[in-house]
Amino acid sequence: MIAWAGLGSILAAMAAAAMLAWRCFPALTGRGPVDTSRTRWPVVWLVIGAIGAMAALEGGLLFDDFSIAYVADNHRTGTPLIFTLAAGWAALEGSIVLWGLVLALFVLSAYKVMSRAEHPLTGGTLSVLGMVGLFWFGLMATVANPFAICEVASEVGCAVSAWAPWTPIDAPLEGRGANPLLQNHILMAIHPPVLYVGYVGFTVPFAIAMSSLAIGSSGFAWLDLARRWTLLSWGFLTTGIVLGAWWSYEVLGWGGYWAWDPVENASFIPWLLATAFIHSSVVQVRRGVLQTWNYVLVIGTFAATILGTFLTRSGVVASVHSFTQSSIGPVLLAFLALVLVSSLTLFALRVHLVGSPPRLDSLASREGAFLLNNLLLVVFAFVVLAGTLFPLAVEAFTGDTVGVGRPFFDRWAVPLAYCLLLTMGIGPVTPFRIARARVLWERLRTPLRVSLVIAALVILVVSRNRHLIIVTLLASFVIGAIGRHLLTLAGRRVAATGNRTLPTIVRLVRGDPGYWGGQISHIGIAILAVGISASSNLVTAGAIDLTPGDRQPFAGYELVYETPFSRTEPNRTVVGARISVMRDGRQVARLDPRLNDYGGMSGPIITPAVHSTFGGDLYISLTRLDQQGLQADVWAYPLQWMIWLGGLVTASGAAFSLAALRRRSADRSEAIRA
Amino acid sequence: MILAGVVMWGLVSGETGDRDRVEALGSRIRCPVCQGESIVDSPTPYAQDILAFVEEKVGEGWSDERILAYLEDRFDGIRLDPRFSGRTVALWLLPMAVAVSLAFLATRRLMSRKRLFDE
Repeated sequence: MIAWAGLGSILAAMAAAAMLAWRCFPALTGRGPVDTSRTRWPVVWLVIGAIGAMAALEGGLLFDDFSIAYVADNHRTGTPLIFTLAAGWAALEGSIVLWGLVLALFVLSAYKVMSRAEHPLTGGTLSVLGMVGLFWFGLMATVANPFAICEVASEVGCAVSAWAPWTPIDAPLEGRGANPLLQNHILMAIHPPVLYVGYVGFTVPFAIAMSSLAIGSSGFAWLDLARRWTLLSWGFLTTGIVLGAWWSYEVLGWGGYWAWDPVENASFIPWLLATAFIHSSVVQVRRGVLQTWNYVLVIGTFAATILGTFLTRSGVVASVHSFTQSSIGPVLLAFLALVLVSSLTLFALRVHLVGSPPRLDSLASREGAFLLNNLLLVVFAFVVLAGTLFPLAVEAFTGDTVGVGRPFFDRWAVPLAYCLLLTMGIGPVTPFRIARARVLWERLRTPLRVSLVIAALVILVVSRNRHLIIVTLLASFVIGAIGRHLLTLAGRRVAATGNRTLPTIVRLVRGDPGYWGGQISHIGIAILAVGISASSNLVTAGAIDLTPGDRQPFAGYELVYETPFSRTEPNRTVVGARISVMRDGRQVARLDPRLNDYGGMSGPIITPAVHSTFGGDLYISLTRLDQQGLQADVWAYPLQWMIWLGGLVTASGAAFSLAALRRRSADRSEAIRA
Repeated sequence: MILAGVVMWGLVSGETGDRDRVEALGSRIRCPVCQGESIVDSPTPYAQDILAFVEEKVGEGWSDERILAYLEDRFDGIRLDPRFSGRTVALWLLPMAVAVSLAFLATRRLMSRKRLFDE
């Protein structure tokens, strides 16, 4: 019953997407604008179908309907509600249902925003969105059907599944349950949807760019809109990446948060390209150049999200040769090829219409800083891309295994990050057109002094680690330059108007939300950089080996093994060790590092325990626990919280810009009405 | 000026932040039975054995290069930072090629006024 409803919803959404693409297609060929009232129903049905599919899948999970193969393979009775719901996107087919739902909601909002404003690109954009929607829902309706029926049950889970909902059912009595790693932490319920909003959102700027290219309309009509949608997705993607890193840190127990593994890289490449676009679009708005380059970045960002999905969802990463075992890998690869070929062909055909005349007065200017920033970000993206694809390419062509890991990425990422921080400090206070050395020195003198003071303090008081010194120098320079700029501007206004300082600052920041939102993100990145550098360069790593009652000093703490414990929860068995954390003879925390056993084939999941303070984190991860005692890996990470804080501040910059822009355009339309 | 001097001194005399040799070396060696993890990060016994081997050889005074070469002879693609060679040339050159061509394009297209007058 649920399978029928689910598949029916998917087919309805698919038909609606096809209808949307078809009805709006004339707008792409330049045959006049489309009557947007005729596109209302396809949009509505797309949303209804997408919600129906997600609801049916969640219904199947909630009612333990093991006749659906996906439920049988990813759920078991007694799973807590939150993880039952999260199982809806914990595996391949479900994640595509969520993808489709997010896409449908984006189509709806793009339709509302653009048709209300009677934007000239509305029709073309909706047509492209319809085509992309057709692909994803088509994928669900064929090779990735989440509502496949369990035809032959095994003891737990489903042995053979069949596509057709009329297949005779052989439902297992118990399901296999989701991958234990995915039901070990609350973040797993939040992180994927947030990340997906980021990923999927890039479809909208892509569609806007495509429709603008198709009709060969140059100018800013597409850019302003594409920028806002990119900013929105970018904010979510940033948050999603930070939450993912946090999850990795809290759950995986290997003592880190970022491993440069292909799944992480897959989210980082579009982030880098979208960041480049957000910057280069400013140059187009202010100086009318880089128009063609902006198209390239938008296309590249979208293609990178498809590539990421292919890398993470086809099994290609485990081994090049495993990906053909699932039929979804080749389909995604074909879609990626189609996207690239069609969009780049269109780009090549239209580039003469949209290209902007080349003119820059000087590279020593804000534009020059933006160019440098784009160069660094794009090279960074290619480093990550090369490091991710290289092992796959080697395995595909020669059959050999090659590893490309942290040492390779770090060798590039660290100097690139230093250069980016430096650009971030100088760029935002550099004038457009041409920067006279005297003006620049005037603006940079104070922040430079401040950063030298702070770096000197770090050297004398904290550490003489070279990387940490460079990062504190650069990060305080970035924040100092922003602070000085803000105070100088505010000071001038206060002198002119006689208003009080604080309200003046607030008005100033709100008056240019694009710029100041960007500076909020820059401050976030600076905090993040200090956090990363401190926690990785000043880390203390060690191991403890204790029997109950024993104590062992570590990194200024004393760790006392009190007692082992075990308890049975509905979905898992937990065994762990209670460890008292003492400092100067006083207990400051009690930590319960654990091994969580979810039954099934995989062994227990190591779950670390973390004691966070302002100074840093103490991180304990069990490696062995039995009658004799425990062994655990322990780490002390200074300033670890700055990583999470910095990441969230970075994302909030986008939120600030969007909120302020929205309020401003609302004010403006009210003013027009009045 | 004094501050700049202090910072310069800090930078020049500062530690590079390299962890001890075994760990630094281990983080460059791929765990052969894992997915892209180094033998330092991986808890598997196989990885731990190799790490123990590295520790032993470091203790015996082998150089980093000698240990890496020894392991490379026995395992295919054991390094996580593949050395620059005919086969890995693409890995190292792709980002550099992108950087150079973008920089070239940018200065060529955006800076040349001559072209503007030609058109």
